[in-house]
Amino acid sequence: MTEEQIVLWNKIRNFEIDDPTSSFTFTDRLARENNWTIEYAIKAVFEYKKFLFLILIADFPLTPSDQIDQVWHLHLLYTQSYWIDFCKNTIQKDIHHGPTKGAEQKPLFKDQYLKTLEFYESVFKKKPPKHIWVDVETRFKENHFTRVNRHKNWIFPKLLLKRS
Amino acid sequence: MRLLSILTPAETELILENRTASFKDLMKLTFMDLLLKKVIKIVEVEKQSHPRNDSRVYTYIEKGKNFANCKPNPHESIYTTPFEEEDDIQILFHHFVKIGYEATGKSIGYKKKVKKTGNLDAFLKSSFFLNLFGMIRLNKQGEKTKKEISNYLKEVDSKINHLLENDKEKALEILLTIGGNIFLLKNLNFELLKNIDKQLLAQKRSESNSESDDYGYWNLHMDFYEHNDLFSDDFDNGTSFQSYLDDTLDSFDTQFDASGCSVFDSGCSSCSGCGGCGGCS
Repeated sequence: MTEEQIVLWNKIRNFEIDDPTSSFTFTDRLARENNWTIEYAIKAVFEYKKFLFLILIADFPLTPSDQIDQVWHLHLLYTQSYWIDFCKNTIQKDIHHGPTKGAEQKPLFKDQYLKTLEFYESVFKKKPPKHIWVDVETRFKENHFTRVNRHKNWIFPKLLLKRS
Repeated sequence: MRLLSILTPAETELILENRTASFKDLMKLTFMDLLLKKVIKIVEVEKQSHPRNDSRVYTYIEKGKNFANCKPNPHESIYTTPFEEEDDIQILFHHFVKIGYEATGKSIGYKKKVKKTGNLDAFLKSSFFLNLFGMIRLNKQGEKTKKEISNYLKEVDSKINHLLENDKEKALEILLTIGGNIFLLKNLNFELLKNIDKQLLAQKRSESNSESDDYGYWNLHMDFYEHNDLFSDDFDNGTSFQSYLDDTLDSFDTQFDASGCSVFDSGCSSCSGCGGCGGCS
């Protein structure tokens, strides 16, 4: 990282999404909506910050893991925090989220995701944590989510039958 | 009392209170002990998202200077694992306490973790059913040890403040011997800990370094007395910090114990309102 990049990374790292006066914070909501533990949600937020930093220093498009994308989606709902506190006041740039335009873009996103993983490693000098940055096949295969009202429905995992 | 230099405060509390030891007290004692050993530390940061906005103070937990030297016990690892992957990560105090609750489940789970160190094996009854239900019962040796610890702590409690003012060497020796168990003392004036003579401390450190491994545990506590900033600034003494910690733990206690479920399942998904969505560009 260059000196300039270190300054930028520290700004992003120190940016606080959570409101300490709130009894139900951004991270609490993130954990609840994704059925994550608080510890996992905190780690996902930290990786999300790294991803935003990578976006700012890269000269090519990047693709996040699904976990990081979920953090991003939720942060976008906290409009004051995202657009004003973060984009305007912290990094002085707008970062827009570009949703997929359809299945035909899958190969493109796969390629971008691989490049993102490589770029992450080259910048942070460590491999991205696998529990948040899953491998490319899992990233684009095991990704079929639906909003379910848990007051009215039970959720059971599918049995994992391994082929011998 | 040599045993207290081996036992963590949560283990000691389990001997003293056994079946009535509260989950909250065990978690609190472990947290305080890790702070004392500088495995973790508290950082207060004032942040202002914009010059026009009011600044806010955020209380974070991050790795302490002894994090790398510490081999956490199972009941301590709930507080150390969040930092294992990332050197830089800071965790809001509020979330940190919640992580502890999530990692342990309920009281029985945490007591089982405290037992896992093996340090209490000689003092506890063991049977299939006791283990299955995570019940804590002292054996004869345990009852005897409980009395000894209780009497020793009472004695220390009655004289520690006087010693800190009049016989600093003796006071330091006692404090280093009981390590994190100082949090079990009811009368200790934390303000007096700031008066500990640094030269005496250096002498103790050099003595301990030349002795056996048994004194390795001391080194972590010595760091605390050398740079006693644990309760600085907003937490100007141990008592006020403990009450802050109590308040936070109490708030989670209520949430987690209410109707036997977590507050996070209470189903609040309401939005505080917005000006409508105009699409995105």
